[in-house]
Amino acid sequence: MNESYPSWVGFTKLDWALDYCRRNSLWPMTFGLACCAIEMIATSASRYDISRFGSEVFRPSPRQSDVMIVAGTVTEKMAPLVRRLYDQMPDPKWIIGMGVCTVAGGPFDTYAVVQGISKLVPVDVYIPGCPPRPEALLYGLLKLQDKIRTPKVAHESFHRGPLLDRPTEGWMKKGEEIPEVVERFEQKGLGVQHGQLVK
Amino acid sequence: MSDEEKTGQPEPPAASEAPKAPKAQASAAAPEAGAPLEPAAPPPPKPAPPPPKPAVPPAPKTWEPTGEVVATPVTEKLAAAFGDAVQGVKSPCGEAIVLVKKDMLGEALAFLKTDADCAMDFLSNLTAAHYPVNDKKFEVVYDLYSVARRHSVRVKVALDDGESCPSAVPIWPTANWQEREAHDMYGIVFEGHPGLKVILLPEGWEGHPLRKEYPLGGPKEAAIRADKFAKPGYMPDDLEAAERIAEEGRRDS
Amino acid sequence: MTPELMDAAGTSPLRKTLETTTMELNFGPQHPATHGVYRAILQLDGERVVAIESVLGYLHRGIEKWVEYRTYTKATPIFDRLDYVGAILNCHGYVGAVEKLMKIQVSKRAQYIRVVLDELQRIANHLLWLGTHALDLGAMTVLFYGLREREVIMDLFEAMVGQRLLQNAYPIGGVRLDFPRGWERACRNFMAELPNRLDEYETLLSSNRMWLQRTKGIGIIGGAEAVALGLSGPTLRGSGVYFDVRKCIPYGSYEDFDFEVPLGENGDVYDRYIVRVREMRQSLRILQQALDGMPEGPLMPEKLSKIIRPPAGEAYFSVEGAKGQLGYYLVSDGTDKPWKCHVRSPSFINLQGLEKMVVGGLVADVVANIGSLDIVLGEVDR
Repeated sequence: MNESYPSWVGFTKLDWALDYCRRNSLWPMTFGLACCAIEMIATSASRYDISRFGSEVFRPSPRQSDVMIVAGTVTEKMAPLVRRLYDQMPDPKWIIGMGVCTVAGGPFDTYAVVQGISKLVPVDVYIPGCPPRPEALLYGLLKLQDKIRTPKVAHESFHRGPLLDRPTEGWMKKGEEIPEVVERFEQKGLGVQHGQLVK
Repeated sequence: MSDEEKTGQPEPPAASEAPKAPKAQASAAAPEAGAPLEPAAPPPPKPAPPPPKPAVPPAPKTWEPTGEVVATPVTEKLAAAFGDAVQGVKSPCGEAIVLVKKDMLGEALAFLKTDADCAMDFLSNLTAAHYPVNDKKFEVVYDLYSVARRHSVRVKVALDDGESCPSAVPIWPTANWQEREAHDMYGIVFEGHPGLKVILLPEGWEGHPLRKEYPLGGPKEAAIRADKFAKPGYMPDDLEAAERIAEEGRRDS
Repeated sequence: MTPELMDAAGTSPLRKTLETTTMELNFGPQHPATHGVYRAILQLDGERVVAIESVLGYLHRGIEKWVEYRTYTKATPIFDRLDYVGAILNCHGYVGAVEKLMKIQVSKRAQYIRVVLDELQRIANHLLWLGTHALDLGAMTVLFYGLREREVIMDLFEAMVGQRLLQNAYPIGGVRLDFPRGWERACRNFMAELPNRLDEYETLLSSNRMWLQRTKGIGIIGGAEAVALGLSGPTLRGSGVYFDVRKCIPYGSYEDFDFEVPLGENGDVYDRYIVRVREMRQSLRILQQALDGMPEGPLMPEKLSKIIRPPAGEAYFSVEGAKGQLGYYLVSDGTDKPWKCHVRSPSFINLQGLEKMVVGGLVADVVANIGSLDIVLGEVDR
């Protein structure tokens, strides 16, 4: 349609509009199990305000929530309840696994800990860390919003490439330096060796 | 440790024909044995056998604590009241520990609480331990403290596998959950406990996890180990060699 | 009641058909007010609680078994995960137990640094406790204010030891690093601000009629009963019993500092609340004295072997954790791995007192009582 419409009129698919609403108002369920719950509470506090990303209220009831942020270790005793709560959530629902305990049991390779919640529920986003910083949780939430935007795969357009203009092949090798960083320090008269300051 | 590290270094290959013995012996032996033993084509030096590992203490026959027995007014009063049934246990850090025979345990604990000088009204800690090498495999440990007098004592009792222990709940109600936990983890039955059932483990869990023969991963031990490294704790077997390698790595870099 | 409706015994047949049974209400484990995965099965008669049964173990991770497979040094970080709100105190307890067993002398400067970090962690713990306790009882503002202060403390931790939460702050023997440049100034700024903020919270809560109605006279527990139940920490001191590990079983040079131990009178929820708020102010006093009187010296002992191998024996070392007496019962068999490490966790034992506090009260007071106990399920279940 080539007629001129006012700028505040848009045309889109219904799916896209619904996804827009869904991803910008993900209401989490309070499922703080362990230490990651404290970081989740800190994320909802005033410094790392999670409500500016749409997660305005943490719903205690699964029936009213969109996303279940599993924050903490899931033990064998708790596992059936995790599944039950997931089943009680209405569609569409997503799961964020916060902390390494949800990824692979974290540091606990013991008899009582489920080694990763993917054995129980389908997880959309994992956030590693022990505990992950609030910024990491927010990044995970943004990744989930990406995923809702393009349901097939969360593409990398939001992910900035490496900060430096040189190829990084995995981990830095022993003795390797980043020339730009070394230069910046040398301008101030300090030496850098293996990432440590050397006078 | 440092000696062992020095001997661990590979000796320069062309230096000596003397067998790769510790350096001290080599320097002493070389003048005498080096001169006649000088063949034209020296055989390539065999790789040295690793130097003897420092003696990691072998598994103890019985669990023997080090240190000395500490006598405090409380332990003396207890010994005076109960005589043979009470004996002191060595402590490496100056704590008063007594080992009480099981049949006098209930009276001893009640005595410690009601006696005016001891006045142990606070049961700080109740736990159990498993010593498979000892004659009596299990021990139940009571850490007692007196809020009024500010002194403490530890009472232990040794039990066989399957033997039950009198419950301390009538004396200190705080023992309730702690005995349930000891039962869960070790399988010790406490007689006289108002309701000895599972507290920390899921209902219907089989086995008592803190016993030494119980694997870390429990029923899923094989699956967890296959997933992660082969040994729990990712510990290399030879800690000394690992330390040495790490030290060499730090020296190189 | 007309005579023909009464039977021979004088009771009305209506009363016999109006039988009442108690209602069983499941409280948790997924519940915003349980402070974690705690489950209580309440038997209610109307609104009154007749019986309560606590079901624990939803966060039982097998830490005590895990520790037996690691060396002493590698086991240190896991203890932060027990009481994850007041993590540094757990670490102090464990390294203190190992140092006691090995008779390691921690240098004076390291002890003072540990006191500084411990007291900051105690303030952080009490701030989060206050926020969540008030949130449960309806005062949401205090949560955001408390967390605002806590963020400043976590910034201080991050600058000092590198992590906000679960810091793994102390190695066995001392402290790793000294204060960074500018840290003391930041800490003193925070200490200057905090009393005003605490006054703010007290203005919001302490004389607030609604708060008093919800906390005064609720969950009363007497002193002797509390000691028999093994309660410790502010939960015990709210009942008027003077037992603070820092004063009664001094450790880590706490005897050098002059501070009071606040006590309550009645042993109700309000007293436990006011004890904790006053404790925050006393922690500020200790911080002031520690920073002012910081001695010079090394941070770690000179001769400490890389592999920690304590002599065979056992030790029980307790610190004043944020929740109460946090004790570590450590048994060593002479090798480099602990034979047994049992944690005497204050939340686990304090939770036993919940039954006494709650039975006979209203359902809504269960939430107030759980909040006043200040439990952390990581510590309860280990």
